[in-house]
Amino acid sequence: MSDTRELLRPAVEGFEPMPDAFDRVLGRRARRQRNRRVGSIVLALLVAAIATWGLSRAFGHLNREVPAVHPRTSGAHAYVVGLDGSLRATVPNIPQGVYGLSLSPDGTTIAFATQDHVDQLSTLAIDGSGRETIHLGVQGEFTASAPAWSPDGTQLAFEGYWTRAGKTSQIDIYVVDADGSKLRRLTNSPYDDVDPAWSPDGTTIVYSNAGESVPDVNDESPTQEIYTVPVTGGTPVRLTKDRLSDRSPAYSPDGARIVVNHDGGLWLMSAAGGKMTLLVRNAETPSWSPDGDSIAFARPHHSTTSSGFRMAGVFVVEIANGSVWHVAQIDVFAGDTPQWLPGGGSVLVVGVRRPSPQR
Amino acid sequence: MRDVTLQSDARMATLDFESFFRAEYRSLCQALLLLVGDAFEAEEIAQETMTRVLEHWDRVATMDSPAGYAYRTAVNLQRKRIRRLAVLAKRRFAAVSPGDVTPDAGEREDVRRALASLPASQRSALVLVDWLDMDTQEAARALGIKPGNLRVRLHRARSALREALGAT
Repeated sequence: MSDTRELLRPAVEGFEPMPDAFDRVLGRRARRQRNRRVGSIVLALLVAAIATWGLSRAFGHLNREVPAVHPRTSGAHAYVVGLDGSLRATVPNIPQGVYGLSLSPDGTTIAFATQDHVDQLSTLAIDGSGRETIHLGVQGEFTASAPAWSPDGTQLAFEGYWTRAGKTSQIDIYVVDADGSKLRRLTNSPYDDVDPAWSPDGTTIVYSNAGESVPDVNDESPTQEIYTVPVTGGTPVRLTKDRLSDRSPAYSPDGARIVVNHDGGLWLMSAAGGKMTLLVRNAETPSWSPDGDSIAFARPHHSTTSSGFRMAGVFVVEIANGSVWHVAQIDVFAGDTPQWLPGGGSVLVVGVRRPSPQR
Repeated sequence: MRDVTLQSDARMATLDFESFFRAEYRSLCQALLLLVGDAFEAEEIAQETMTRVLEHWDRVATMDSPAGYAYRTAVNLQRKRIRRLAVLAKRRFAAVSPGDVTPDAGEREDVRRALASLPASQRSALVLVDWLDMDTQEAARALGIKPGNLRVRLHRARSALREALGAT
């Protein structure tokens, strides 16, 4: 937006970078190389000690390697990946810019939002055929995203907001029938409601509300809490109350528990709320397996990727014992949750595949 | 003519690191100045960014967008603010205040104050999209958020900035 650009321009006028900046950068690298040489010696000694103790044998089974090596690609694709890391399929005809992908419970249909058509949702068969548009039939500039299929596959919950006179409304949770009819708004908080997910019986939507604090650059705010609301409408019920961000909730298949992204990891709590217990650290975007025994998730990057995708790889944690294994080397876009296929042996993810670091 | 330019990435990939640095460093500093509101800290993050780019130059030079990689690295560094304490320590011992004395300092400070009044999440969206001309998808990836949320932030940031500056 060029007029905004003109507003910003005075803030940088008169600013001149240091004339010796290039030399400073070269100096930094030289110092770092020296430090790393020393560090590598220390690290080698540590590794030798650990190997002696046999820890690598004891815990080696927790990290399975991905057998396939794939060329770097600049674009994201939708992949069906087996839990053994094998690539089962690449879903064709997924448009670039797709995000917020949801697989129907019977595993046949993908729902998603795109950048180009913000006032509608789209569906595509799992084999990439038969793209259809779900026209929401709203007047004005309305943006829909993050769709989630209902357990019976007849409805979609999603995030939506209005733009009027250059200003946006808060984000609310909406539900619409899969044919685009019966659009209704479920929430009307003054703060953003996001991450809708269905209860297994299809009667309740669980979601996160940002609260009065503005989300930070990681989309987190200390007032972000988990709520539920009946699909038929009603007063939201608050499930969490703490001073940390709670988001990306998902019901267990039996409806008894909810997994929540909290304090940088995944935590479990009763579906009625209450005390949370830690399941795994350094994890986001949880998705419960159909049998309820494990949860797929993405792990945040510690560094920038060439593709710009922030989540490094798809992982699975077993709920009974907390064992974690790395399923696939795929950079997953933040906010995109791995989707289990009905059999529970593979997941559908959107992202950029990376070569194995072992090659 | 834009003064913040993501140079032609195909051409840039064939250049050496020094050429890349000369072409992008100033623009990178300006974007970071808008993000953090402090010239010293902006340049500190810019130098750290370029150091990391240099360390991986063999790989970065072959990317579709070396400049895009640099900006994403800078945004990540800015987000983590891992250098904040070091910067504050250095500033404490700085001999000369970096304060503005030029005639147009008033307007400059007004804009910087207006930017600083925005939540960090909105400021990042504004700088990436409106200053660096990233599309919303690319900016959302750089910030690691959903594109829908990026657009909300952007709208709110534009409205708030214009209101703060009395623009119509």
